[in-house]
Parts: sequence; structure tokens; C-alpha cells
Amino acid sequence: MNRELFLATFEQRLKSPVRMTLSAMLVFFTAIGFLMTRGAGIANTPHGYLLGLIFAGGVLGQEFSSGVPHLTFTRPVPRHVYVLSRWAAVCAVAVLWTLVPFVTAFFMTATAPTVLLGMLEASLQAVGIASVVLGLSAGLPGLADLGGLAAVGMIQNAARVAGAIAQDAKVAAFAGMTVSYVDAWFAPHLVLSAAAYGQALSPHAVFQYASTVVFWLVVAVLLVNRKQLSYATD
Amino acid sequence: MTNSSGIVVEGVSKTYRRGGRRALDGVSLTVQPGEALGIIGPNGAGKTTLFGCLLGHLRPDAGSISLDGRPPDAIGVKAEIGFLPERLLFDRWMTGARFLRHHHALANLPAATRTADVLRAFERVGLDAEAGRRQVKTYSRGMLQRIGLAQALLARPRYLFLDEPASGVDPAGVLLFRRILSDARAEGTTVILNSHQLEQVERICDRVAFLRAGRVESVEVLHAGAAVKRHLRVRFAAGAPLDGESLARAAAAGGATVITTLPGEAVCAVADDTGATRLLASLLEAGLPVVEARSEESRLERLFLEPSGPSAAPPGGAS
Amino acid sequence: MRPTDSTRILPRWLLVLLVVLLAGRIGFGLWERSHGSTKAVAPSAAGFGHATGNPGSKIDRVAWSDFAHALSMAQASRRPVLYEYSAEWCGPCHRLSDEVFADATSAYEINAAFVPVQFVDRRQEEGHNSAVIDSMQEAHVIRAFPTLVATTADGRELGRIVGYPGREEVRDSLRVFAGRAGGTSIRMGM
Repeated sequence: MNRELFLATFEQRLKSPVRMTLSAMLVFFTAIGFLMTRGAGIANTPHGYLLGLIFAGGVLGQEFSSGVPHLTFTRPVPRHVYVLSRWAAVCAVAVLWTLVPFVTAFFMTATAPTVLLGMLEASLQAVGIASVVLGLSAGLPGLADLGGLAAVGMIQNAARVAGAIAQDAKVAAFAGMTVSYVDAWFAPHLVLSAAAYGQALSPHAVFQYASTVVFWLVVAVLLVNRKQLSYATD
Repeated sequence: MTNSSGIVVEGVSKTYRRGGRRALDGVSLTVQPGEALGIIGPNGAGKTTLFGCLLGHLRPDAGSISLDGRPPDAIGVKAEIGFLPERLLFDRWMTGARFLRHHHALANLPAATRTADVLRAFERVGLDAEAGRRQVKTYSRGMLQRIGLAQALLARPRYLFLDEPASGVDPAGVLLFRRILSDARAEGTTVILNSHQLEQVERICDRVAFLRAGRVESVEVLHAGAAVKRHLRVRFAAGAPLDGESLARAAAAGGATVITTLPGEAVCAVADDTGATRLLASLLEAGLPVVEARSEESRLERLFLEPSGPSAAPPGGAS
Repeated sequence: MRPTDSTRILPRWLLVLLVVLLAGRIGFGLWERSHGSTKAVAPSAAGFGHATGNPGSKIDRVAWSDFAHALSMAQASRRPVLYEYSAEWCGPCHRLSDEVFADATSAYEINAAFVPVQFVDRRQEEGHNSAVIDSMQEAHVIRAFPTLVATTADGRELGRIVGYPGREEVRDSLRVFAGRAGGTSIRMGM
């Protein structure tokens, strides 16, 4: 939304050696994978999710820990613009990288609609997880947002195990519910592969994805609006 | 709505949740447009917290702050302030020029003049163009202060907030800063200065607010010729014998009292500026070889000495 | 923005967008729950790549077996059985179906490694289940939908998944269960 913030964040991500190395490796291996399986794995690739994590990790938390927003917030830029611009920029970088391996798939036997749908699905995954990380990053310092996401994953795993071994009906049902809710709220994505065969997308699924993404944007804006910036000198 | 100018701070209190420390306790201040206000006080007095509230970084628990009749959060206010923070923290990957261009753009200044404005800003603070090509993380402390000041002045702010400016800057830089600040003041900029360097504060500011334990203990008006008691240290010509009796007599004639005598020096207590003049005239009349006379402590230093409970600090404020 | 506007506001358009999207999510969720998709109640031996059930139903690439023949098929082909317990009104069951069963690669893996059997609970719609479904639910202690239970041909449980944890998790878990069976290993598309 603010061109300068968007560009500065974009440049910042591109100039981060760790992020670029990780994403280059990931993209490389994904592309090799596509090549070797003749594009068969396009619909199931998780690299969009991982790229979203790589570029969105710490998007707000690291900034606040480093003190940069102290100066930024003395400028006539509303805080929500700051948040949304940074989100848009990390999404843009993640999506661009996500699309790269599909280029190799185009040269394989994979049909164009499958590749395009795969691109869209992976991009939506990247944007989806970037939004979740944005929301967590607004409340957690440094890269703790990724830690938070890992903790949520562990809770989900615990619930899965509980559901599998539970004898009590209520516990099993609650565990099953937990597992599904965590997936819906913390890993928003849209599965599009069936659409290649004429299957219409369920409106519920679309609204679920979109509402989860926007929910986390709102969480991030609210948290940043409330944030008090201080640094101890005396 | 009254278009009140200047900064009005009324009854501002702030307690930090962690530690329950009351950083500000009913602080009230006004800053007239165009004046330079210094904020001094011992460590832990709440100066940084007050700055944070003025800038909209912190929300006071009680009280109100307005700049030109608007709260510090307002976007119109942000367009009119410039801030030089004490610790300059930047995006590590930015070059100096990129950093200034970034803030130029954030301040909504026109892109057409960006390159020229940034170049001019560099010149103004005494940084050469080559520094602009270097990454900010390679800058020395003095360079960081300069580019920080450049950033603060970019949008020609009406209110300039300076937190320990010129700390770590060499003497040439200090002079440059002083000149830049007086230029800014000549343009009508209101300056709010938080500094431990009392000499700097005395030179630049019209008024000084002394903060201690979260309260404004006093507001001194400087440059007004002071009706303040002080100790005058008088130095006499080397080698000349100093007659204690005639010294005491001359001092009394000048309406002053001798506190101590040292080889070649005497410390006398005077009532005010007039008293100082009378004392010196009296000493000279008595034929004493006065060479130099200085205040023992500056006015501001004395504020730190005056007791106000358990937090009296040594002169200059603990740094 | 006007000069007196705060820099710390939540823009109204964002809030409205969230409300609208949440309303759509809840609304369509309820709608889908009451209408459901017309999945065939009796599991059919539909071939790989064909849509199962009535026209208008979802695509399901899993080759569900008839329960009567499932166990003998499992013994003959030395594959474990995968039971899927679901219901029409269960949202996560639909997600499981959309994201795993409709997906070519996942379905291929399931078909290759297991003999899949599907039991759809009809108590909500019809008030009761068939005797088979009831006894199977009891035997496998099914308390929540969806539940996937993998067993060997002679009924030893290899593992189960309760709830829908996501496509990759389901695929990973199923691979593990198949591994425990010690039979045919899954050949993966990627």
C-alpha cells in the first residue's frame, strides 16, 4: 500500500543471505523433483508453504526487536499501512520464488491447466502461511513467530495422538475437532487439483481460506496499533 | 476548535507494567512555538519516557499531550516532526543514501527532487557523497549522528526532537550541529532537546525543564541574567602574594563572602549577577590582581545538587 | 487521511472485509452441512478416475471396495485395509475427501497400498445406520468423524487418524501405517 515500504521490504528480503540461500536450495530441489517425476508431483508440492515461512518469518518481530520502526513511526505513515505493505512485499517475494520451479514443469509432460493450477495453489499456500506468520510476528519478537507456529504444530500432533488412543467419546471428538481447527486456522490453503477435472470449488473452502487470511491481517494490525515502542537509555 | 500552537503536556503519568515503575508522575509542560526547550535530569528521571509520549510511541496512562492542538498519534503531527534518536538503528543493508531516500519517500516528499534533496542533506551535516554509498552499518558513531540529524531535518519539521544529539561527535561536528540547530531555529523550528551535556543545553535552549523521579521539579529560563546565588571562583595573577585580610575586606565591601582560599584562587559566594559585578569591581579597586572569574558550577549543574529526596545526583548527572 | 486522523486505526474496509468473509464461511459451512454432497451410501467398486455416486457428487479417485469383498481382497493381495468413517454433515470429512481422495497422487497411493472401504454414517439423515456400519463403528471404537483406521487383513489395527490434519499429514501417516503392515510398499508418484 505504501510503495516505499513495499519496495524496501522487498529489497530487504532479497538482500538477506540466509533467506536467499534457503529458498534457492528449496526451489532447486523442487524443480529437480518436478523434472524427475515428469511433473507428477505438481499438485502436492509443499514448497509454497515453506517459501512463505522463509520470507515471512520475523517480518514484524525482527523489525521491532531491531528498533527500526521507532523512526518509521515518526513519519506520516499509518501503522496499518506499514503492516500491510510489509505483508504484501513478503508475499510477493515468496510467490515469485514459488513460481520458479513450475517453469521447469512446463517443459515436461504436465498439461498447462495442471501447471497453472499448481502454481495458483502453491502461491495461495505461500500467501496463506505468510498471513499466519504476520499475525504471530506482530506479537512475538525476533523469529519467535516461527517458534509459535512450531508449537501450534506440536499441539496439533498431540491432539492427533490423543484422538487415536482415546477411549472416551468426548475426548476423541474434541481431539478430532482440535486437529481440524488448527489446520483450518493455521495452515490456510485451497486445494485446486480437482478443478482441473471440472470439479467446482466449494464456496465454503474459498471463504474459509480468505477469511483465515484476512483474520490474521486484522490480528497483525490490531497488535501493531497497540504496540508501545520503548527503548531504555537512562 | 482552537488552533493552539506549540506543545501542551498536561498531567501526564505513565507506569511501566513490567516492574511497576512509575516513570512519569503528573508531568505538565508547555513548549511555545519557536522556542528551544531543554529536558534534563538524572538517570531514571523519565526523560526518555516523556520523549516517547511526545512522539506517540508510548501511550500515557493519564493526562494529555497535544502538538498544535492534535494528539501525537495524528498523521498531521507526524508530517511535522523530526526525530533524532539516541541510538540509531537502521536496516543493516541500507546505504546512507538509500536510508535518506527511504525517509524522504516516507515523508511524502516529491520524488522529483529526491536525489538533489538527499545530496543537500548530506552536505549540510558534513558527510561526503562517498559516505552515502557505504552501508550504514559501517558508519562510525559520529557519522551515525550526522545522518540521523540529516534524516530528522529532511522534511523541514516544525518540531525537532533531539535525544542526546552530538554525543560521540568530534568537536568540529559539535560546532556544526550547533550551527545547524541555530539555522533551524531561525526558520522557526521548535526544538526539544534531551541531553546530559549541560553546556550544550545552556547554549542552545531558551528554557530548561528539570525532571527528577518522573516530575518536573523546575523550569529555568536561561539567558535572562540570573537572580541566582552562586559561587564565583576568582583567579589571581601567579606569583603575587595574596593577603587574606584585604581579600576578605574587599569581598565584604562588594557584598560577597569568601568561602575558601587556595593558592592563587578564592571562591566567593555572590547573590546574583549584580553582586558578581560589585565583587569584581571591589577586588580590582583594592588592587588585587584579578585575572579570571568563573562560576564554580553552572546553574544547571546546581539543579542536580539540590536535594529533593534520596535521588540527589553528582554534578553533571550520572551518565 | 485527514491531518487529525490517528495513525493507529484499524481501517474500516479491512474490518468489513473480515466480517463479510467470516459470514460467508459460516453461512456456506452451514449450507454445506445441511445439503451435503450426494455421496453414494453403498460403497461402489468404481474404477480409478471415475466419479462415484450420483451426478453432481464430488470427484473421488479412491477405489472404494465393497466391504463384503474387502477382507478377502486384502488377504489375496497382501495389503492392509483402510476404513474411512465419515458423515455427510461433517465438514472436515469433506475437506478430507476434497483434498486427499480427489487428488490424483494421494488417491493413487491409497489405492496402491490399501484396500479402501468407506462407511458413511446416516444417523443424522435417516435416524439409524445399517447393521454393518453400526457394528464396524463399534468394533473400531469410532467416536469422531472423520476417522481413518488401517488394519491388517486379519483385523490387527495398524494405526488411525482422527480428524483431518491436512493432506500431507494424512499421506505421511498412511505411509507409516502401510509400513507397519510389512507388505507391499507404497510406490510414490513423487
